Amino acid sequence: MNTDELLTEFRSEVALPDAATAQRIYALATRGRPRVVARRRLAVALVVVVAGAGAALSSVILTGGTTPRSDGGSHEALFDPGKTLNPGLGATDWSHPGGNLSRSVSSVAEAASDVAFQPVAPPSLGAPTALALDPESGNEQLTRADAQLTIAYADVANGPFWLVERASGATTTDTLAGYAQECDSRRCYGTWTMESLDGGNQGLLIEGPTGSTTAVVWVQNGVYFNVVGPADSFSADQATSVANAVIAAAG
Amino acid sequence: VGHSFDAAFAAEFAPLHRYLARRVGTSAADELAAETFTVAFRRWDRLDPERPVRPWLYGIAANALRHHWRKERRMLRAYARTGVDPVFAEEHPEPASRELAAALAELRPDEREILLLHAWAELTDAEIAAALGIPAGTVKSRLSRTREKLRNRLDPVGQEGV
Repeated sequence: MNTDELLTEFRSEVALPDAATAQRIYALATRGRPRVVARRRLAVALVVVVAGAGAALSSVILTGGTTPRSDGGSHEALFDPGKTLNPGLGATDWSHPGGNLSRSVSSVAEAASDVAFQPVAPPSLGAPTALALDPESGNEQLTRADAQLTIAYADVANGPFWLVERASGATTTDTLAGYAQECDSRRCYGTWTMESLDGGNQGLLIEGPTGSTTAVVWVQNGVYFNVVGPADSFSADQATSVANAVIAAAG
Repeated sequence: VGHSFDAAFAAEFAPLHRYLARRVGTSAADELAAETFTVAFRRWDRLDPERPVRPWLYGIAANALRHHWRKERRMLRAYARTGVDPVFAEEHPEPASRELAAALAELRPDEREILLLHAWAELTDAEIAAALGIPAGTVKSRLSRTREKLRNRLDPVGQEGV
């Protein structure tokens, strides 16, 4: 047995958690969620977490792994989470960018002093309906380097969508291309492809299923841009068109 | 892509918990998984809709695991020394496993993190990079170095292939 095999086998007898553990931890994690919503979502989550456990195990089996189930039973491919789960469960309020901890700002000019990049709001997209400054996920404190600006739009042609901007940091076009290459139906919802945008830019086009989102993400002059809207009303063509407007404005 | 928290919990909880249990045992895995998903739930509104959830969750878990590095090392050393893996509280007397436990205990925490995210969580280089906030090239080189270190430690005469 070589090192990789030895490492794969090491503690492979550890079982997946049971449904009671999943229920307990779900309840702990979501404390504070409104009770009616929590009950409804918990029911959905627990149905899929059990199936998800089966899917995780089935993938081990399909690839020749030897992870036993705690009850010693056999496994079948129960479902493909990427196709079965409903990514629209957590509905987004497109008129309210950012989260509860984000800070509303009145204009791009006001935001400019709190971010480490030159924010862009193309006049051709019309007037924003809201702007929010937010720390990048994973950081508790808002710093200029981490700050992210989300600009919400809602126009007649495109419906609601957001333009998200932040310093690109470690994210590069290659990073995005890596996502496009590695996102398959088991890991990501929808179709992820690299597309040519104006000005020689390459962007990641994400076409999510109904109930999720359509997005175009790219890095330009050290700034991460993300144009994202609801898949039901914001098409790939619309997202690309908005992205090209931003690219032109960002120059 | 517009993941809901519930969908992410459903898809990722079980494998993430198992990964953590392999690292530090079931009891600590309960605690760490709860911490991971609590943080994820609080930050959910701030997660970019297009950002893959899986590496983000493992990144949160990796931060939580930092407080357990010493415990993990103690458990690995105890296994290497006694043949009883604290993760199971059962005897696993295979010499190779005990050697591997010793080798894993000798790795730097960041080396162990990358290696086990790759080997046990089955994250790609890009996902590990996203999870830990480091360049993919760094992941690749550190992973390569760590695997070589492990191979040399376990097979000093170089008879085995990796």
